[in-house]
Amino acid sequence: MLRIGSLHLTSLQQGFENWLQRRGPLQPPLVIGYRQVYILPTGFGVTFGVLLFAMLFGALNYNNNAALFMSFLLATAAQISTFRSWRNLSGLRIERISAAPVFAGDDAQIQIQVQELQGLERPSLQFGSANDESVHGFSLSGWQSAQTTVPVTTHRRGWMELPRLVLATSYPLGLFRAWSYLQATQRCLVYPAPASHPPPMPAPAQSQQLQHQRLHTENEYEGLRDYRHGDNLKSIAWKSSARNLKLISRDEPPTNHNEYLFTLQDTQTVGTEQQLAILTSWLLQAEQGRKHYGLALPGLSLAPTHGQAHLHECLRELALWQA
Amino acid sequence: MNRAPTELQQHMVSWVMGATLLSILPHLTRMSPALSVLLLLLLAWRLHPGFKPPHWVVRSALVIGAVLLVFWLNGGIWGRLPGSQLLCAMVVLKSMELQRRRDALLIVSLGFFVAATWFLFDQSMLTFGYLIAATWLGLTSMIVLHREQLQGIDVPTLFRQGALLAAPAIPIAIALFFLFPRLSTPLWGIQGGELEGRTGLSDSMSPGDISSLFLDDSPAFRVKFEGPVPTMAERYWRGPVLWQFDGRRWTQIFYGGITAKREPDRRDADLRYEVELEPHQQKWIYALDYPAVYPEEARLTLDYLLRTKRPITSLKRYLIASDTDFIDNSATSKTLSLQALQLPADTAPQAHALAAQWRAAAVQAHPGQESDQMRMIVNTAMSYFHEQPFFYRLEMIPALQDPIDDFLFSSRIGYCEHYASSFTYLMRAAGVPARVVTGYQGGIDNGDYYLIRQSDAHAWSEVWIPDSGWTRVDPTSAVAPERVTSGSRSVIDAPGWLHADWLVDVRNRIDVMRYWWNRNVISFDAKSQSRLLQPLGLNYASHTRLLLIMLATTTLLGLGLYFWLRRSELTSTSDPLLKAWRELLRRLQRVGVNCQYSSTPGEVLRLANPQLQAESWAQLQLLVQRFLQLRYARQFDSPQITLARRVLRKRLQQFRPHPVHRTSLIFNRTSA
Repeated sequence: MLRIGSLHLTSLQQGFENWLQRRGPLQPPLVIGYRQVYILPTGFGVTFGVLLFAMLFGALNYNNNAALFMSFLLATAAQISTFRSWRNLSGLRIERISAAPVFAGDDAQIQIQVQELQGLERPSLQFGSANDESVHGFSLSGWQSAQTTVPVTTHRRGWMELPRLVLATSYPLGLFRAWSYLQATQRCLVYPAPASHPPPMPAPAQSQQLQHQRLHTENEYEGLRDYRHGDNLKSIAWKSSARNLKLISRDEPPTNHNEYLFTLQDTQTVGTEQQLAILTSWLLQAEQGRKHYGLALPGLSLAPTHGQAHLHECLRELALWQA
Repeated sequence: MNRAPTELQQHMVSWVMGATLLSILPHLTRMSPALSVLLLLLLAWRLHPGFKPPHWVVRSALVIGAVLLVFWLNGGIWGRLPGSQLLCAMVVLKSMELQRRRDALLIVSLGFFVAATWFLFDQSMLTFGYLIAATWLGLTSMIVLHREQLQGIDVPTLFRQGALLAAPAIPIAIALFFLFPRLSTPLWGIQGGELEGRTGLSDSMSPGDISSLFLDDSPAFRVKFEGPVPTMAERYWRGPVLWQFDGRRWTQIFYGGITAKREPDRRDADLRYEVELEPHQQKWIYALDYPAVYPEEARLTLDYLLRTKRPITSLKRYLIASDTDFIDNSATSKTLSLQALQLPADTAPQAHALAAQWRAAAVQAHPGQESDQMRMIVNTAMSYFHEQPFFYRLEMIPALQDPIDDFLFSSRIGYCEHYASSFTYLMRAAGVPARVVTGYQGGIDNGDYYLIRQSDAHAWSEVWIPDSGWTRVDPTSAVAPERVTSGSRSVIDAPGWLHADWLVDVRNRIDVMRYWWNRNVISFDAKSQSRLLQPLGLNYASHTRLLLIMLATTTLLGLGLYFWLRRSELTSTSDPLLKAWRELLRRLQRVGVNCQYSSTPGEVLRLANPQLQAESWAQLQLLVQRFLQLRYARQFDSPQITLARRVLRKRLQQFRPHPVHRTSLIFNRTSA
């Protein structure tokens, strides 16, 4: 019985899914069209309706024309508010919905980038997950673009499908809630959670050779390289920059020339998840200590170096590692 | 930016409290001062920025206290007066626990409800306008509650947004008002027991009762005649007939209230008119003598007053046909003849002596002819009032011992009730059956209709003469004939500037509006609705028909509204430069360029290229470049940019696109 019920439910869900797809795109970039805005009365809207009904019936019964007119006026104003709610969403351009990688257990921040295209003010917008009450409010004025985030809890490492999202508004009266369904373009990458009490890092490998090679591959100005977005202002080599007419950063020298190459065996524990957790915390420690580090997993090897990009590359491998 | 949307800010509280105050204000003026002061204090407390919600015990105590107070003040909690007071109290007390947006929204919508209940007491045009304004404020505060941030938005803009919800609703609400099927009979009973604020004549008369109405300028009723209009001196609007006198006060008797044995024939009726009676909370309606056709819910009594089962608590309109020549000779029964001669014992010896003197003279002059004797007595009395130094004044001299004797022989200053009372007394003392009739006399021509004010209240007498029945005699006309021929205000100047001629004139004009409002709005009902479609050739509008017409009308209005809103929102923008740009786009559309408001300037340029003459297009190109520069300029507020924007706006406004001529298009194609 239950099985039939659940089967029935999934087919319903499938039907709903298909129906949504037919009404327009869900993934950004998109401009919210009129077929993609749904609207229903809120709980308060229903209360208000009951109140209006009481007013209408009382006025009809007593043939009280002033009260009757007032209830018609309020009812029509409520109806017009649905138009305003709809206009508050329709025509908005959703540029992007994405979430930066996070560690399992942390909240992934789903970020939406919205742009106003019609020069209208869009107050009281709410962005949130479709099956969750928590929403984040923001407003847009004409031609403005804004981004806002909503957190989603993560549990396991790997790719996480982002939930269905809604961009909603109950402006202007709160009687009706208009919303549009949205779907993120990308999945969210979840890194393994770092171990809380990792064993000490293994001893570094003494590889002068590697260090030497690396010096030769760099350009002739030792320790100097092109400015990369995000470099510390203090690390900019102003004199060299002036000479070359472009920004040049001083490559921060590693604190020592030791290099670490982490492997699963180094963790000296059993259980893949446990091992990955320890590796994760080592990677973080190494990056924080400005050490050169690399990763060697069965069938995969990342040469020791340092920097945020390298860290994320390593973490990504850990996140997606299949034993 | 990520503020929790339910959290209330202080300015939101102020808006909500303001809207609440406006909607309960009319109620506050009517309730007992103790309760209204309490409610105002609670509102002020909630408005204080340091307000902390009281403990639930305190809140419950306040609720119980408010219910008890309403109960104690009204002697009950059922009925519209205590009910509305209770509603007001509940709305104010609800604000004690106002913390989240949901509470605020609920309070505002309860405010709408409370405002609507005020219409049970007063549906005048002024009240209506006021409460529509209160609704506007309510809607605006609901909008404010949905704005997390208010930077850069001033109060007029907020009110305009409120108006943008309320104003477009008006045409549809009007259509619904006239077309929504009405109930011809109420679904549940209307309570008639509750009476408050009685105005106008009462069912008894003591000295000073009617003169106190002289200063009351408010309308008593309005009359629209169909056909001949009687002269002012003939317009005696009959009210309660008073038979019993206790030396000071005249009252009705039970026998006067029994149903008339003989009614005027409707075929003899020579006056037809429609009366619109302001609610006076009494169980009678006014008519000219003698009503032959009258509304179903009224009953004609033995003394020819139209009595109703229920008090008149709302504006009442009714049709009357009167037969002015009818003779009322119904006082033939012994009980009534005796009642018409009743006098309190041991009062007014001087009056008795005078009456006896008149009677003796009359018996001597017309021996054996009772009717002639009586007529002579009446005439003697009228000349007595005319010849002796009697004065028709508003101020009265309080009676020292005997009201009748003091008035007739010493003070001789009084208003109509003094003359009617003492005249009737003299008649009875002389053996002529007589009674006092109260009502209104006269009324002014106010254009389409006749307006009878409370100040037109009057009292006169009727004497019974065997061969002509009950006959009206107005002793006031013997003292101050202008009172009857030109109205109450012609005799006595009302005190104070409030009654200056020009102000009375203004008030008459206002009453014309009030009459229109009453006629077309307040008294619109199922009956008027069924006649509504007569001009369209539908004699009777059934509910189904009405519903269909209502749906069609509101759909059409709604569609019109939709397009109007779409259009207005696109052209209405606070940015003058953008407005100029959009106007330019409209001009381009007119010459055939397929651009939209949402098109980017680059797109517009591309779309306009094949449609415009080269020179015109080059001009447009320059404008577009400049527009892009200035629209997205970095230093938005610098004076140079502002000036440049103003210049560009002018140039955008002046630009007139020159389309490629059709002939040249053809020429180009053929040559290509």
